[in-house]
Amino acid sequence: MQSECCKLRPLVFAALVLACLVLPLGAFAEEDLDQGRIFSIQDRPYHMNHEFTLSFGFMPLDAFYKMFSVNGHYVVHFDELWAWEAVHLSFSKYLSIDTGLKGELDDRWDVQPTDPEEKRIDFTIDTNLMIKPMFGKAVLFDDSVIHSDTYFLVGLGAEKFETAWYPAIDFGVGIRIFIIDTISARLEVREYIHIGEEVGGTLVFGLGFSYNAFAEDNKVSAGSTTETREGQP
Amino acid sequence: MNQATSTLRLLSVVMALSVTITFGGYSFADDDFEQKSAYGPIQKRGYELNHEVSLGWAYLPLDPYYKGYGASLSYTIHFGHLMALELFRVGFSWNTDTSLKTKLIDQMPNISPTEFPAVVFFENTNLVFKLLYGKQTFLNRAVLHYEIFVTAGAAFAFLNPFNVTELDMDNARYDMGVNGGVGFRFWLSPSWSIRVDLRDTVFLIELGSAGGDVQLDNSAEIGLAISADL
Repeated sequence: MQSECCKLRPLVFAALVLACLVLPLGAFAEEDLDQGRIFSIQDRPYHMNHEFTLSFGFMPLDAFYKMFSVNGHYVVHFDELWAWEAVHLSFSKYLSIDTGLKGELDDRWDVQPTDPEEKRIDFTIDTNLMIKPMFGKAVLFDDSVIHSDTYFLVGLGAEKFETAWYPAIDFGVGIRIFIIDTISARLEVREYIHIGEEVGGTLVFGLGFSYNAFAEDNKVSAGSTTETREGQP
Repeated sequence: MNQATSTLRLLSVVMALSVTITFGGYSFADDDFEQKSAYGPIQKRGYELNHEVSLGWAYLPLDPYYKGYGASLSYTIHFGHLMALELFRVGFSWNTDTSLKTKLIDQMPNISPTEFPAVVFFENTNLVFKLLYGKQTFLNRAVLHYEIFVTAGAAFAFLNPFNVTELDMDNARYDMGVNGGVGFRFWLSPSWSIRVDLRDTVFLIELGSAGGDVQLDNSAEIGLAISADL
């Protein structure tokens, strides 16, 4: 009797494992079907054209200084997917805060860093390809609806440190929140990798406001909705 | 004459009522249409959370003397669309020395490694405010549901100059503070989601020291986790 029980135990265990694996899959499938029965397709209510942006940057990773920057961007949007950030200029000279590390090194161990000033960034200039694969809408505080897109950047440029210019490549990701047809807010993160005597990186968080010039050229009637059912055009 | 007047009055009332009903109805329909055109159809949230367990990777990038790489485990109770309580988020950090610390120790004989306490274990308990819930189309083909939330709460950390495998309890520290952050989540399925957290902790009190020393020490963390909704 006990041996039969021992023989059955692996079978029961296998059945339980199989059930655990299969049942949730069934549940997902059912939920997917429930969502897919009726769906609606909306035109994008906001389209970018010639974008001028003023933004503020924060570079938190340097040990000796927390740096800030003021940035200007000009972006040409070709279509819903592609755009070219033709110019991105960043000015950060004099916009830094001492972290107190120099003072700490001096006070605790009476040592001076070789030259932390060398790592301070004065200017950055770069040009980027922008791809905007995601567009959508979200509900804010369960109260109001906002539209947004998510974009990715990759580009080339140069960083001017205290001592010299270095070539750099950069990539980033950002989210744009549309406020009105012509104004949107951009929140983004970029990483610059400069190549010089040594390879180094600069992480930049940015928050900016964009003006969409000639927005009316691309304007589509807001919110036009097509509701359709599965199997129907 | 009187009868004609009464008939006319009745007709006028009927017409007035008809006009009111017709144009009133048209006006409501117009408002309704405008409301629809502004926001589109109203949909239920595709994904909701109840009891969330997350397991993830953590990176502590800010300290000038070390960079921490670790893992975290958290449990969050979701009360509704707007609020949740992250009951605990515990984690550990494996710390690697920066070149600054290495140089200091190598070049200055009077500097000891024990002078650099680093976060080894941490715990957060936070309120979570879910600001945004939305969906985005990906290349006009797939739909991705996401939310953005902020967190605020209390933090506790165990600091040690050495890593988990070689702890030096004589130079251990227990700090308490507050932490705040912002996070982003997107759903893979109704039960599984990926979340990214950006948090900053300010340690205020060193526990166990005489009188509880007041000190300000900062520790930021970037987290990437996979969450299961139980």
